[in-house]
Amino acid sequence: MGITRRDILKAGAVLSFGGTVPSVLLRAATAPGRADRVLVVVQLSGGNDGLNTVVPFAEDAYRRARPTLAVADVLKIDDAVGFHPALRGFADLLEAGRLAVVQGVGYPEPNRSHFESMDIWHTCRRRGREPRTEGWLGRALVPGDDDPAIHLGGEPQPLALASATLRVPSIASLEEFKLHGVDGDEVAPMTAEKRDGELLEFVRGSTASALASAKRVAEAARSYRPAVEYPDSALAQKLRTVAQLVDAGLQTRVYYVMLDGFDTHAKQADAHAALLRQLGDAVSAFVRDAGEHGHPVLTMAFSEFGRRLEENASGGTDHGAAAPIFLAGGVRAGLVGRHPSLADLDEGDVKHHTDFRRVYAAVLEKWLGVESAPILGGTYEPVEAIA
Amino acid sequence: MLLLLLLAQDAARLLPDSTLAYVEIAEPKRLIATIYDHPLWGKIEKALENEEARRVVAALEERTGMTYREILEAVLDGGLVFSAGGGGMAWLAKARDAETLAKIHEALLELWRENPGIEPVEYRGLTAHKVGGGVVAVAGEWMIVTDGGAVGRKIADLYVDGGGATLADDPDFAAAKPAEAHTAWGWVDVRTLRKIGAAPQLFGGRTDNFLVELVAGAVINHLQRVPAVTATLDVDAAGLRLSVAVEHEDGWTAGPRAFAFGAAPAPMGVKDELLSLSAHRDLAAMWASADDLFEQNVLDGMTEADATLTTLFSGMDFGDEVLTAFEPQIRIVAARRTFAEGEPTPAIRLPAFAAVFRLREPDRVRDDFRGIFQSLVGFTNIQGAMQGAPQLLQDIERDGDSLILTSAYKRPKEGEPTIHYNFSPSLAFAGDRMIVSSTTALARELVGAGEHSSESANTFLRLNGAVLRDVLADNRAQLVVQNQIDEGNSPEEAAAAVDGLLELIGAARDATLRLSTREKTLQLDVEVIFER
Amino acid sequence: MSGEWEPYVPDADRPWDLKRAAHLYRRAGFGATRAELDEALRGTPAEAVDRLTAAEEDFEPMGRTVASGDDPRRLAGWWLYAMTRTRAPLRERATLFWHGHFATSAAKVAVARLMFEQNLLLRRRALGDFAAMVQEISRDPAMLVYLDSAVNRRAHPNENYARELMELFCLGEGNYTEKDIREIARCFTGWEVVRDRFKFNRSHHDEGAKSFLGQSGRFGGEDAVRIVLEQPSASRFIAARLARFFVSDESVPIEPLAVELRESGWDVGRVVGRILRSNLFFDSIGRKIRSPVEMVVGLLRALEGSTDLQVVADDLERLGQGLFHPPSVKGWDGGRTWINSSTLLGRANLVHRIVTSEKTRLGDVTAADLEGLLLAVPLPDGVSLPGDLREAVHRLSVLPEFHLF
Repeated sequence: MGITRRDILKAGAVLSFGGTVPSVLLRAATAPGRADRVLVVVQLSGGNDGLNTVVPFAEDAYRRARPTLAVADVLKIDDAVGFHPALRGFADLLEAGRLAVVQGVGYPEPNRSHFESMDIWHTCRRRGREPRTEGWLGRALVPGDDDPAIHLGGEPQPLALASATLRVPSIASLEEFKLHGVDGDEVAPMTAEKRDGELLEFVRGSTASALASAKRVAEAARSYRPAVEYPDSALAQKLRTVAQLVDAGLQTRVYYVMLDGFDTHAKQADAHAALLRQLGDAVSAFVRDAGEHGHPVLTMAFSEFGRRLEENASGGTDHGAAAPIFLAGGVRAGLVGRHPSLADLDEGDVKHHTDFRRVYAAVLEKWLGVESAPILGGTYEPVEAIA
Repeated sequence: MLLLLLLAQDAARLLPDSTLAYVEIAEPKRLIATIYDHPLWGKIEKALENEEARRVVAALEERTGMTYREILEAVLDGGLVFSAGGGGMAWLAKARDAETLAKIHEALLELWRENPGIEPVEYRGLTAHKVGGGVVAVAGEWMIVTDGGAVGRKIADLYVDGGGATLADDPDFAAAKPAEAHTAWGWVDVRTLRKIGAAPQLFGGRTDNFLVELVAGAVINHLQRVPAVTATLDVDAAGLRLSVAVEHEDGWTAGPRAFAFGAAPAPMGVKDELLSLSAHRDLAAMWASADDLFEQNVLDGMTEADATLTTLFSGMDFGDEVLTAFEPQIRIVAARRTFAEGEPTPAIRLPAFAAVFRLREPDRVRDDFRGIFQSLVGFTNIQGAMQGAPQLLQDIERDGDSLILTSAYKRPKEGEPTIHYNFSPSLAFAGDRMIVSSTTALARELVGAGEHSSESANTFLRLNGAVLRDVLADNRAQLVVQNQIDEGNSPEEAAAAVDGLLELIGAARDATLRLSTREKTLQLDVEVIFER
Repeated sequence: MSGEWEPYVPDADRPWDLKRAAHLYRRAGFGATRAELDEALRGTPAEAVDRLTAAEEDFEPMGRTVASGDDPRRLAGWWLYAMTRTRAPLRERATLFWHGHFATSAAKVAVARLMFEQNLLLRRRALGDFAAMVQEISRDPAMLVYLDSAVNRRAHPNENYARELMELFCLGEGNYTEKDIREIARCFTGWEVVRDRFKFNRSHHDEGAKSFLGQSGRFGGEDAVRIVLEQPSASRFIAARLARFFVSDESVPIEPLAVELRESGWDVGRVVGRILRSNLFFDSIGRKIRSPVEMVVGLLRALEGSTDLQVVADDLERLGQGLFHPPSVKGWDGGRTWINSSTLLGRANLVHRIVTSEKTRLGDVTAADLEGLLLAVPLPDGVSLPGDLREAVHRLSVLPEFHLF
């Protein structure tokens, strides 16, 4: 039993009446290994066209199937595949050894409904076969002083974070993590003294932690200096907020953000390029920023399915199956698995060869240090992608 | 007349030449009389009333021995001026006489001293007081309130020194002063605002808001060129008229914002008209010149919208095929719906609304739009069916050359409750007009409607207060419970508040807004006519 | 300790005073004004309980108007309005209890009218016959839609409702088998929701013999409910839930309450009355953590306050207790799960929003009254409140004592 952060906080609160605990002390107080590791999930809603994201440019079948949408000028990864030119951010990360691309990810009997497929990714359970009240991340969360997970954004909370025992907050801005209209330093001494009675003492301890968290978040909002310039996009600004919260020493392990608009049934080319640019530039800025600040952060970007190989008549693509997943930050960089075959299709879609639960298993076991089998509802071999 | 000029000169001589905006009410007394003597004032006063204000007013009346109206009239007797720029915002009021002003000022100070945070500030022999976020000073017959910015000291300097570089010396300002008397007039130095880089989205090149550009493209176009904006306001018992004008040259309408210039179509009159909007907006041209109009984030949004809308419009390219089918004359109409006596009506009764477009080549595109309408109704039915919602049945009405595609919710079967709906979406073609309407009845009316007096404006909006009142009154029960929940009112308080509001709205018989170019000016006129 | 559920009789050690009267009103009616407490103290504790259980006020017409707007968010505003203003707060509190028990969320049901009808059902039965309430909830369209049981056919019995009926509504885990679930699911086949109305579809009903919980027969859904409620664990389960809600988050002896429930023919009002009169109840001051709704409604009732309740309703959802929006079919776990950093900050910020809102009106209360009206446990020595009422309320909301009741 080492000293917990809470003990340090209590000591600090008593000594300095709630004054700042130096962040160095906090960092030293976190258990070695995985306790300070953070996972950031970026959900690409709508079904990202994986084939125009990691492009099999060398294959004739690709160009034949996509007479107007085939991407030229790819940023080559190797002789067979390359990134869409708008993904300069990902190409840079790959070069810096900070990006792993897991190819051909999906699940058996793919469902092509947005809602159903997203629910499968969120819960790792199939409809009607098992109850689907909890999400994979919700099952992995452990209660603590600070929220174990935070969803940043105004959209409904993803099922992935649903938990039977915990409530995950959805916050639209940092303001919700500040104490309004009263000086926390003035109140903190009133919550520093132990109280009689177990229940009251429990609330007292939580209040002292809450005030300390609010203070750290407020200070971080004032003093945080990103090591890189973040783009102006909504996604980048959300990730900047995540960086700030991580830097504030919040004990939150999981952050969840979404980028919508990937359901590109018509006139896909420009719209998809703009989305990929937003994604690549934002994640690249975030990974570099977290790296500079020395925060161990893993970012995972996924979508509920890929899109059909053949483009449609409206210059777009329809719902498909397998697609790549991206892991950035503390990863074993490079391509993981081969690009799925364009010759062996399932109803016109490329087939998966890596179950998405193998990627989750890697994230849970190798990054968060959590046993994955009960969460995923079975044993899955982790993909080799985490450093 | 002489008196008016005197005030402008007086106040302008107390304001620094760096002032960017100036609003003047030369004779507040008349405005006060118009408001206080209006039959509706009692109601408005009650609506505005709150406990804190009532307490302050009562205390002030007691200390001065004057009624609130007398206090206002005494303090504002010589006029009221607002200025911004030059280091903050300032209000300058010229009182009837220094003595009365001193008495009122003292009473105010006593009241303010009840709260902490008021402190005296000395500057060049003048005493001012910090109150809340602002600073209040009295000098002779002037009462000066500032937001605490540097402008306060500049005004004090000019007052004490009796001269210096003042707004009165600015030739642009001097030229802007209107020749006739108005209740109020104002002036904004746009040239300097542009120079110092204020509000780049408005005064710079590209905007970052699609809707603002669509609505106000013409105004933005001119704000990027003109030296100043001037405005006049006239208020009397019959109504109020606001007129805002900027300089205009014919050559300015070329370029990416050309889409916003041209004559609006004549408004169409319908029964129980709630609102009528006519405008000239070349949407296809706007879409095409988007690169020169918008910042990148808006363009990204438009690219995404274009893709989605193309899907929605059955694969017709939204920018290249849908928008180019329309002439730039657009009309939007809303009308109150009447429901047959004794029939159950929707819980929330919405007005009917419709958009009227003119087609460039009606014969060529009519069938395209018919197809889109039918597939959208079908799509809605499929979506609805998944949630157990009732289905829309389609039908066609022909009358001479006109054609109406109707859709209406299926009548309930025996034993099921009758439900009336707000919507019976319809699409109509008459001549070169295409009408998209929320109800079949309004579509029919618009097919047969004549076009009223021609309209020379670029944008024309008319809102009928009495009809708006009736539309809201149709939903009175909803408004009352909403007021209970949102205001925390008792049922009685809520009913009184809603009825008071309805009466106020009904008092505005007609409100119109007109944007037009006249020789050398681009002018926005807003007129509200009160019910007698 | 046989006297736990016996009526509390005031004596010199445990006088009928402001502290105990405020406790009764906080637990049974969210909170009370000073005038209400003074009134209560003029009589006996039993008379105060009688007044609470007998009071009635009808908010149905207002709710019907709100529901017709078909926005479940507005329904939450309506219910808060009823809770803060009613003369019959015990019924509102009991309805809130059953809403958490038979948790159904508008996030899935989506139709405001169905949520409203369910609320009417819960409020009608809140202090009445529990067996009748379970029969009615079993055919409640909102509940069936929420549990995916709107279609339930002989060939594919839907087990969801059968499972929750036993696990969450009547018996608790461990008091039934998976086979019982499968058999009871067959009883409910043919129970459907068609165009937002309950319908029994005989052609989809399984007419065969079923065997569960020790009984066999050609049972239908009503029989299933009856047989489930005949289980001895049922009355203990419900008694424990009621005791937890009204008395303490920690476990208390419940057998006498269970017996009373059974013998009174599932008369909830009677058992709640017994709880509120009991020694155990009056010895439980400060033993519970306020839920967000209990916190806000208690505050507004004690201070005779009114404010923009729609804003409050939306904030409550962010704090985890959105009315008509429970997080899952399990309802709200309550107790310590209400407390963590973000909820504590959220609670203080919600109170801040209320006291600084222009729409907020407070009654004739002074800062000095606050402790007596709002707190179950006293502030420690050396902690004092600002003199200004609104500032004092806000300060209180940051302190740990505020969250117990």
